[in-house]
Amino acid sequence: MGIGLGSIFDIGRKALKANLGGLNVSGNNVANVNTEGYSREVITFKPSIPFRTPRGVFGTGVEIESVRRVRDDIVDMQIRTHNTPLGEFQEKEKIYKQLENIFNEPSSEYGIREQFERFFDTFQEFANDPESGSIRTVLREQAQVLTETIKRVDQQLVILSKDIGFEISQKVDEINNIAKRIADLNVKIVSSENIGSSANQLRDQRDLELDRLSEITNVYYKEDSGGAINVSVGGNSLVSIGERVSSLKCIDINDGVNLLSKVTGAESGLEFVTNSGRLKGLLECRNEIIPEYRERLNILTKTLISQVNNLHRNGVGLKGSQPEVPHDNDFFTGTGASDIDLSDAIKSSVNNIAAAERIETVDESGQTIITGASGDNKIALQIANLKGTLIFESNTKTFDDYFSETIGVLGVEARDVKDNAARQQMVVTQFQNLRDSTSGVSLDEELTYLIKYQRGYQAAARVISTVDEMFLTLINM
Amino acid sequence: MRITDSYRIRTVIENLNASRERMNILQEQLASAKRINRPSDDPTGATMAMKLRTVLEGNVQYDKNIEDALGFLSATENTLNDVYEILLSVKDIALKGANDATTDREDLADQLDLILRNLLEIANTKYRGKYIFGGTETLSMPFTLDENVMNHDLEMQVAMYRGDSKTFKRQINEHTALDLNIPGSKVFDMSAEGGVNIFQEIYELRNNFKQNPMKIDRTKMDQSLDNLDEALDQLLNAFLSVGTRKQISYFNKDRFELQNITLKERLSNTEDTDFGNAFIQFKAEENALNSALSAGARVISPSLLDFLKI
Repeated sequence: MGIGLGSIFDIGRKALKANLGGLNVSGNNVANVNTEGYSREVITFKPSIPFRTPRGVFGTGVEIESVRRVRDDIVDMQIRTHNTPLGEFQEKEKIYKQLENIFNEPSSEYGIREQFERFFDTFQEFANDPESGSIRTVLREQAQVLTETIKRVDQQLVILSKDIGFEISQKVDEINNIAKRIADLNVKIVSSENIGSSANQLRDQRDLELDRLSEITNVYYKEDSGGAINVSVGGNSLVSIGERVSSLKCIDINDGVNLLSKVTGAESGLEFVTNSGRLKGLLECRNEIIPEYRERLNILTKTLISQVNNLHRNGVGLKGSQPEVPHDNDFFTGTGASDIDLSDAIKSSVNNIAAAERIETVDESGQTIITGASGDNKIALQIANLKGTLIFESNTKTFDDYFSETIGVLGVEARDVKDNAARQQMVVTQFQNLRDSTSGVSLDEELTYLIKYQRGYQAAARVISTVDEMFLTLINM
Repeated sequence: MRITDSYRIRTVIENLNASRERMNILQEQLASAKRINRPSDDPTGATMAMKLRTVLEGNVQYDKNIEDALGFLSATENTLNDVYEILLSVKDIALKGANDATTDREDLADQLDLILRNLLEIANTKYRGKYIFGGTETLSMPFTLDENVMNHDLEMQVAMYRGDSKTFKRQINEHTALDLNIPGSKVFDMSAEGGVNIFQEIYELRNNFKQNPMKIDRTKMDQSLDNLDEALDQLLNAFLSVGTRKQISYFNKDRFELQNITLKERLSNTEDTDFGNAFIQFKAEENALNSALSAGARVISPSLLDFLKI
């Protein structure tokens, strides 16, 4: 082969093709400027193999060497590492916000604190006027409001726990779906790269799936030599040998008081253990945090029931009024926050509310007669004074201390997750910026390239038309 | 560093979000007038606010209890005052009867009959539906004539105490429950405790006059005068204890008033929005948001496209 018009023609043709390729890549980059997970691509050219003559080496034009995506695996890994705790904090932040709404303190008129206060205050009113029927009715209403408030809060905690349980199973499904998609992508990537073509878009997709998975739980992944990745989470392998997929499942466990969620490998039965991520945040909220607050509410309620009943049993109602079962002289019934209620005796008649101390005398016939003085308010005062009595935690805390401390703990924890989420968000943003700086599309840059390739294309065309003119010259000779 | 489009857009969005979020918090504080709207806004402050509010509301209730106690104590005091004046007039009558020059003791005896009726009524005084002097038996008449005696005539018998000797209390502060009532036995009939029965004494005096209209039984008369003095003492004691209770009540009331001013101030400092401060911050955030918006608009819009001739 020598230098001929034909070979220059060929150089022009190759240059047109290469610049067209450049335009294609830049155009594609511009088109995907807003596509999530897209990594910009760069095209590289290389000169085609030259030919040597005794008089020198002549080039034969340009060839496209590669179109590759610009991606930094280390930044990817860092984003995923930091994404995991972010997901956990964000889930907890949401749930703590709901917990705060449920308790609705510190200044609500409908919160538990206010109802406790009103309950004890109404008992004082009652002690001031134990003969009156109307204050008894007011007291019964107020006590009913208190029991309803406690039950409502407990019920809302149960509902919240149920909602979280639903979200947990959704997250588990999501993990399983992502695992399936990764396995699918593995197969496609491997086959496509085996025949030497690039799998940039598929890899982008797989990276995006890993990003999403890393929000849900901390994930271990490794790319094998063929280009497939193996994924395992929480001690359970999800994708192994490139394409085998195992899944996770979620079951509810009843521990007697609360429904808890347990996640295990569906086939292996291995417990899913994770130290971070959305799923971890949800599991912790459902299995530990909500049961803890329910327990605190329960202790508060149990103590209320037993303390008030103990005192009330020593009392006697108006005009010696007695419940039908005389020893069943309780004020409250129930075992805790889920079922506290007023006793049947008090529901049936407000006269059964005791203000007076119970006096038992034996009459001539040997029968025990129970009486109480109409103006005696001893029992009512004792119950009213429970408010300031140190009852909780080895007699060191009052009702109010115990409950406001609970709210204090809730506040500290809620604030903690809020701060952590904000801090973690900043870290993740830094890394996302870093990734965008590497892999993101810059329109300015791409437009510059467009012009560059346009000019290259125009110049190549000029080469061809020049050669064409020369052919004409030759023909017309 | 390459500044890409998604980088710029993320930065703009995040700045705007951060600014909006801070404004939202301030807006909530301004609208609710509360600095603490949920425990996490200030956990320590929230706990403090709850405790302060409990103390404040408790004080309001104690204040109500004190008002109620003062009403009852004043009613008791007024009644005791009536009894005291009656006893003074009985003593006048007794002294008149003790005078040898007096001859119409029948008339004095009739006056005493009237007084006895009056005294029985006073001993059965009610305050808001409760018998003041019945002990804790507040709904049944504390002093009645013996129903077993055929003749229900006051002139023929002494009124009997039917109440009990117990007291009921009012909680006037966290630690103090104040005895409120004075059982009728402590005022009218302390014979069981070595004192005198006022009804009995007047009755004796009246009988002395009735039976000896011309020349009285001197020994009995002297005894009556001594016992009347003792009855007056008895009453003064009751007076004193009511007075002391009223004083304690007033003292607590004043204390609560002072305490509540401080408590309200502390509660307000703990949980209320400092409006001046919040407004200034809000204004500053508004400026920041506007700057972020205009900066964002400038950062996002221009690209090479704007300068290419197409």
